[in-house]
Amino acid sequence: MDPHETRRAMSRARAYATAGAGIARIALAGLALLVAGCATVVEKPKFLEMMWPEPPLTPRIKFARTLASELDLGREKSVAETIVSVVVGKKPDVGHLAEPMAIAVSDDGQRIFVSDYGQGRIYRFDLEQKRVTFMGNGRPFNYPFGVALDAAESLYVVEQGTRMIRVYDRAGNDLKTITDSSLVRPTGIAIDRKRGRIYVADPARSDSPEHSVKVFDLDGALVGKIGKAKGDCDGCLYFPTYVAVGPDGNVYVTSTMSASVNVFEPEGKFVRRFGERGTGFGMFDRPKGVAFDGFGNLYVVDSGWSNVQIFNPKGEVLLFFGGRGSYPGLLKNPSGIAIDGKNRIYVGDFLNYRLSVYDLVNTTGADSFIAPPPENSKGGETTPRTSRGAGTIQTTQKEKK
Amino acid sequence: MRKLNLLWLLAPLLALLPLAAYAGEEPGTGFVDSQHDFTTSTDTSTGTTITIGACTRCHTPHHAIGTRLLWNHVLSKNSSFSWSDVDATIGGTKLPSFNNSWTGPTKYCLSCHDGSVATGDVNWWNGGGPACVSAKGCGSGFSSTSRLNVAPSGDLKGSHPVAVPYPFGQVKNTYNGVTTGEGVKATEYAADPTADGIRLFNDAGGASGVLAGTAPGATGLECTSCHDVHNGVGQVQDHYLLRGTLGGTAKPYLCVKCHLKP
Repeated sequence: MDPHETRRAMSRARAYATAGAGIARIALAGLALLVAGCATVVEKPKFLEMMWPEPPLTPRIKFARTLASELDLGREKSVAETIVSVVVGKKPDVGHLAEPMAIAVSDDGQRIFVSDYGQGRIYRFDLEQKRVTFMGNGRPFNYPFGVALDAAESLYVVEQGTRMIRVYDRAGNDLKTITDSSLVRPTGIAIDRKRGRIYVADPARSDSPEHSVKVFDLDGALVGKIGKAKGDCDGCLYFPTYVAVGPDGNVYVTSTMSASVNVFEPEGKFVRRFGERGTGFGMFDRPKGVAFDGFGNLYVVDSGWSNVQIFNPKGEVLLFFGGRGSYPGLLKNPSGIAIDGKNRIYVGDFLNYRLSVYDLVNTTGADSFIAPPPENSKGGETTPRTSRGAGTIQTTQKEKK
Repeated sequence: MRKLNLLWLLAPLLALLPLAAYAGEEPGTGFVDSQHDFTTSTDTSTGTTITIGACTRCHTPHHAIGTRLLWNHVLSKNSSFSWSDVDATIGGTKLPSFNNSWTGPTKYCLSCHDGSVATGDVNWWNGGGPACVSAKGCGSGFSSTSRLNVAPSGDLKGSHPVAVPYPFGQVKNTYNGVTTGEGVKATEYAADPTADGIRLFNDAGGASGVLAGTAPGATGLECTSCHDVHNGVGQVQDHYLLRGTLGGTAKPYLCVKCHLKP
């Protein structure tokens, strides 16, 4: 049995027991016994801790937890909630992720925003209050996709169905909408807080030339587009789906159908491209979400290989983690990614209906440039084929958000 | 005035242009120029023609030369990625027996048709609340009995489930961790629609996962049951790549190949 399912079952059992006690106090003893009878003691199975790599090497990535519904936050139902649900017969609107496509996390790591494309919802996981609420003031979203937070923690939601970006303040109030007639089928979004720019990936459609990243200012005016053309050349984009801003201010775009990450200066000048279609380390099948950790390392989610690859600022591949499977820590067709200020990594686990959460551990900034291991066999490469453009990515220590 | 007349004459042809651009080649004539052929897509604004092998957009070739991971150089340089489920940790420790779901061809479709590269929402259907095709894999909070309602508008998008059991032989089947529900009248389904060109799959479980073809009690549907993504011979719809027609009342009308509605 899924250990998380087991934990949730035990949590439910405890909730039921609590409910039973509360109802007993209001003289519904018989009902209490009935409800308490639902409690079952489930032996907690041994949980295999997933980490990459495994000892004796230094583990760098450790699986931390799963987030899919409020039940994963560990909050037990209050007596009042239980009475309402028992008396009225209303089931609480727990909400369980079905199609997580993009993630944004607050600077302090306490609030996680997740778009659910199929359900038309934006989940807001509050780790402090142990609650899940939904953004949008009761209004469903029309195919929500990318999510991003600005410095004031206003939330920007790409609503693919209406081709607009809906903006909410920290309290959840409607602030404004942003759109442009050139948007075809927008997906990922990133905000450059320093420059006041909003980048929106637009993979458009197969018969559209608009395969580009649209650039808006914070007032919502379109100020430019990034991407030479629709295609497979350096600086071209072919179904660009996700975008991230590097600590160097450059724009990192996953060109999913050309299986590469293209890097641009803020003004749109092409810098370099890395990755290619293939099964080897550093290669991609369906690259999707991109994000940076606190050391300037780039994380690229691959929906095909169901993993996340980590690249150092020079573009060398450091590690991959994940792998296809349902076991906690493994991934199935993962989508978006977000990393908080403490290097906690959230990955949208699309076909497992959850977020898989990892920690970067035992690592400093110097480890990004660790010397390659001695060559001990034939044919090995210590320098990955990651560069098609000139020069290296100039990065600095990531600014504290 | 003469120009105006000419425009009127050309109007029907101009109106057909977008359709022609979208429809590609004739249905059933093969992969080239079909909806999934990305080699001939042309950027009309720049004239950039994409040149890449037709198959490799979706069928990623293996790469013989690997690089090493700087944080895990113990791994063989020959290690490579694949679409297969893993059954052990990266260090070789066998994982406990665990739910093995989504091992059929639908996983390939959903790597693009998740709303990112292409239109998505095929994983989700109108059930009036959270639902999940795999009660074992979805955890609490999901309804374990999915309600597979067809959308009120009649549009099947978002309403037709995939990776679910088909009542093959007009009895319950178990597939992808799901067993045919009580609400399914098995006798309203063709016992074996494969004779009419529908492609079914069987869930062998374990490491074998989903295989092509039927098996009593373990047969199910994938996206490719009704769609031929390669526009192979016998297709009747290029746009939707269907294994049947969209209209009509009798075969080759797609719906009645599976649904028996006397």
